[in-house]
Amino acid sequence: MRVWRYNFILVLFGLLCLVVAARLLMLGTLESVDLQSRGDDRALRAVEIPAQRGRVYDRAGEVLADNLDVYDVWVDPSDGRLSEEVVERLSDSLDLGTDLPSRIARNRVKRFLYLKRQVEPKVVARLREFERYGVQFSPIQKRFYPLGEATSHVVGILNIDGVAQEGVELAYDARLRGTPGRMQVQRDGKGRMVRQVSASTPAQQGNSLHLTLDSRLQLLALRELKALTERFDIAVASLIAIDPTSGGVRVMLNQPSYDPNDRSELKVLSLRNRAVTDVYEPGLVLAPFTLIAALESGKFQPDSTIDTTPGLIKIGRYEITDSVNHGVLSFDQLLQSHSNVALTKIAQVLPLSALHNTLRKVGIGVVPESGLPGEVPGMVDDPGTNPTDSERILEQTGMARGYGLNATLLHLTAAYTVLAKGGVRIPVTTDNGMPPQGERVFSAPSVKAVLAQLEITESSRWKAARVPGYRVAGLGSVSDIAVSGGYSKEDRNVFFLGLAPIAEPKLVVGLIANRVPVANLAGVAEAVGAVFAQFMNGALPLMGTGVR
Amino acid sequence: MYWYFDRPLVLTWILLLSAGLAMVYSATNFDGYYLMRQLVFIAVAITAFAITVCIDLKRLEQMSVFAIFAAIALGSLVFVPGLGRTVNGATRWLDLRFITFHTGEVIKLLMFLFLARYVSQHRETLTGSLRGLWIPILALLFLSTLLWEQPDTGTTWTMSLAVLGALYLVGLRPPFFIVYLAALLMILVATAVLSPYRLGRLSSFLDPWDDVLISGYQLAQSLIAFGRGELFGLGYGASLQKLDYLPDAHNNFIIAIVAEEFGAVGAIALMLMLLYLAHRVLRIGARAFEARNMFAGTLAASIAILLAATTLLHIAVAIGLLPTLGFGLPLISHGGTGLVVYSVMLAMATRIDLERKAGTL
Repeated sequence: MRVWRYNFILVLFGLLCLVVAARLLMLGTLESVDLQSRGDDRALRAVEIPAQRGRVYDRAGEVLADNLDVYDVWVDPSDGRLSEEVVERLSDSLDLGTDLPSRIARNRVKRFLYLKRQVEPKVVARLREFERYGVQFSPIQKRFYPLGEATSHVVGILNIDGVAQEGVELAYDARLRGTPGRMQVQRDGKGRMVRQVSASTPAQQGNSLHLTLDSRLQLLALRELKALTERFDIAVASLIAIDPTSGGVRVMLNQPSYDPNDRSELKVLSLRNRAVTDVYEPGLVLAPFTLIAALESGKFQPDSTIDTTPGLIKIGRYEITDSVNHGVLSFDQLLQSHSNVALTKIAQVLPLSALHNTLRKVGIGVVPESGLPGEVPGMVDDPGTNPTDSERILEQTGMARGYGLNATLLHLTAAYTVLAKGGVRIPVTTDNGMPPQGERVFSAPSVKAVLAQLEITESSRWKAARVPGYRVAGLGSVSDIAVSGGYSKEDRNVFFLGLAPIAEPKLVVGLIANRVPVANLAGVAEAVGAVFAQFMNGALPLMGTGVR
Repeated sequence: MYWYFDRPLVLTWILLLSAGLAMVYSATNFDGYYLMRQLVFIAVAITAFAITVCIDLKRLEQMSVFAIFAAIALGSLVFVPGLGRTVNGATRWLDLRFITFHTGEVIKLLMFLFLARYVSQHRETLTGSLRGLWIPILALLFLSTLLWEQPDTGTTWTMSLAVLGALYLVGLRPPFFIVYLAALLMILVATAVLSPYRLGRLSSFLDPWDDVLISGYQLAQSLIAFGRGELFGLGYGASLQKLDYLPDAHNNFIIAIVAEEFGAVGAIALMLMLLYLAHRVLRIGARAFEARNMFAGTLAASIAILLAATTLLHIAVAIGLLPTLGFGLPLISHGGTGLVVYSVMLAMATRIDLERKAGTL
C-alpha cells in the first residue's frame, strides 16, 4: 500500500469529519434558538388549571353538591396501535357494547375520540394496561349530588363539560366556579404533560354556597309528594315551604323530578323547576287578599255583613254562582263559606285598582328574585286600564276570586308569608347569607282578622289539612284551567296554601296538583290537604317550634 | 495475551459499548425492556469478540472461500416465506425461530471476507487490468440488488463505500474508480426513479420544514433535538424529543438524542471516539499491507472505512446533510446484530494486530 493513498483516506475522512463537526456546532449555537422555537411551537402549551367548583350546602351544612375525581377516557383513532383485538377488549372493559370497533373505524382520520366520559377511578385503575395502545385518561371533576332527585330542581345540574345548566348551579355560577389558573407546560409527542416550564397563575377555587334549604324537610316533602302523585297518577305537582321569619325557602320540589347523578335518564321536560316557572290562575286561594283589600279600603269592617241571596249575581252577561245560597254572611264567615257572590260584591264596591295594588304588594306580577333561574313575574293587570266600565268591573270581580291573573306557586307561597308575618312582606330567598329586610304592606289588624278566618277546624272544608297538636291556617282551591275558547271541562288545578302554627308561624307551605281529572277531584283535594298535614306534622318538630 | 492487544482499540470499544447502553436506555425513556435486551446483546458481542480473536487468520482466509455463497444465501433467505420478518415495510430480518438477526450487517462482513480473500489471491490482475475487477463488482452488485430489494439502502451504501475504499487502498487505479463510481451512480439514479419513497426522502431532506408534519417530520424533529442540546446539552435523560417526537430515537437517530442531552460537544466527542476506533483499525490494516498480507490488510481497511463511513453518514443524515438512509450508529444504537458484527470485526482487526506482533502475519 502506498503511503499517499493511506494519507489521502485520512485527509478525506478528516475533512468530512470537519464538515460534520462544523454543522453540529452551527446547529448547537447559531441555529439553536430558531430550532428550539420551532420545537416549542408544538411542545409548549399554556394549559388551564381547573378551579375546584365551590360546594353547595343546605342551611345545616349538609352537602348538596360535591366534586368527585373522575376521568374522561379517549383515544386517537388514527393510532395504529389500536388493533381490532385491543378495541374489543377495551369495549368489554368499559361496557361500551358492540359498536366501538365501527365507531373507531369511522373516525380513523380523526385524532380525538371520547370512548367514555366521567369514568370512576377504580375502573380507570383496571384500564391502565391500555395506555400502551394509546388510550388516554384525562382527570376531571364530576359534580355529585348526594340527595339526588330530592334537591335536583333547586340545586340544578352541570352539563357533561361542567357548564352550569339549571338551578342555583346556574344562578350562582360566577360565585361557585372560581377562576381557573394557567401554566405553561412542555408536552410529549402524544400531548401528555412532561413538565411545567414557567411559574403558574394558581387557580382560585370557587366559593361555597349555603342555601336556605333544609335537607330533612326536603326529603320529607319528597316522600309525601311522591305518594300523592303515585296514588292519583298526577303528572305534575309541586311543593314549596318558606320560613316566614327569614323568607328562606326551606323546601322546593316538583314531580316529575330527575336524578342529577344519572345523565342517561335525563329528559328535558323534567329539568324544569315548575314551582318558579309555571303560572296558573290560582282561584280562591287568593281570596284572603280580597278581604284584606276590603278592610284596608275602609269600606268594610270585621263586623260588616254581605247579603249573598239568592246565591247568584250577574256581571254583564256572566253569572257568578255559589254552590248553595249562603244568605246574609258576616265578614268573618266569608272564607269558610267559599262564597263567590260575596267576593264579587266586595269587588264591586272597592275602588278600581285596589285589588291589583294589594296583589302587587304581596309580589304577584313581580319577579320574586329568590335567586333561582327561570323565574317569571306572573301577570296581574290594573282593571283601571280597561277601556269600558263593564270590562273594568269584570276584571276586578274576576281578580277577587283569583281569576284573570296568573302566578307561580312561589308567588302564592310568598304571598302567604305576608299573612304569616302579620302584614310585613319579606323577600324570599334561597341564599342563606341574605339578611331579611321586611317591609310592612298591610296593617296588622286587617291581616289578623283574615288569618282568623283561615284557621282549619273540624268544620272546615279542608279539614284534612289539620295537624294534630297544632293550630294551623290554610285555604285550598279547585281552580279552572284556561284553555283555548274557555275553561277546561276535564281537568282542574288543586291548590292548598297554609301556615303553622298560627300564633307564631314557622312554615308557610304551598302545594299544587296540576291537571287533576274532574272525576278524581274530591279525592285529590282531600289528599292535598293531607299532604300538607303530614308534611307539617313531620316538619314542625324538626323546626324546633315549642308553640302548639 | 491481553498485554499484546491493541489496548486503545479494546478500551475504546468497551467505552463505546457502555455509552451505547446508557444512550439506548435514555432514548427509550428508561424502558427496562430495552436495557435488558441491550445488555444481552453486549454479553453476546463480548463473547463473539473473545471467540473471534482466537481464530487463526490463515484459517479465516480459508473459510472465506464460502463467504460469498453465505452472503448470497442470507440475502435470499429473507424472501422465503416464514423465514423473513418484515418490520415497518422492510424485510431485513431472518427469523430462525431461536434467533432473529439483521441480515445486512452479516452480509457486509461476508462481503469483506470475500473481497479480502479475492484481493489476496488476485492482486496483480486486480490492480493491473479491468478484467480482474469484474468478479468483485459482480458480487457487490448482486448483493446490493438483494439488499435493495429488502429494502436496506443504508447497508448497500456503506458496504459499497467500504469496498471502494478498500480497493483504493489496495492500489486500484483511477480509471477503475470511474467504472466503480459510475456503477454506484447508476444504482442510485435507477432506484431513486424506480421507487417513489426514496425520491420523497431525497426531496424532503432539502427542506424538512416545507412538509414538517409528513415527509420532513423525522428530520425536523431531529434538527430540533440538536437545537435544544445547544453546545453542552440538557443533561443525561433530559431529552424531550425522545418522548414521542423523534421516531427511531434509539436507533437511526440516536445521535440526535446524544446531542440533545450532551450538546454539540458531546456529539462531536462521540464521533471522534468512533473515528479514532476506525483509525486504529486502519493503522492495523496499513501495517498488514506493509507485512505483505493482502487478506489481513484488505479486511482491516474495509472494516475501518465501514466504521468511519457509517459514523459520518449516520450523523450527516441526522443533521440533514444527506437524505434519510436508515442505519444506526456503530456500537451505540439499539440492535443486536450490528453490535455483534461490529464487535466481531474489531476482534478480527485485533487478531491481525496480534499476529503481526507475533510475526506470524
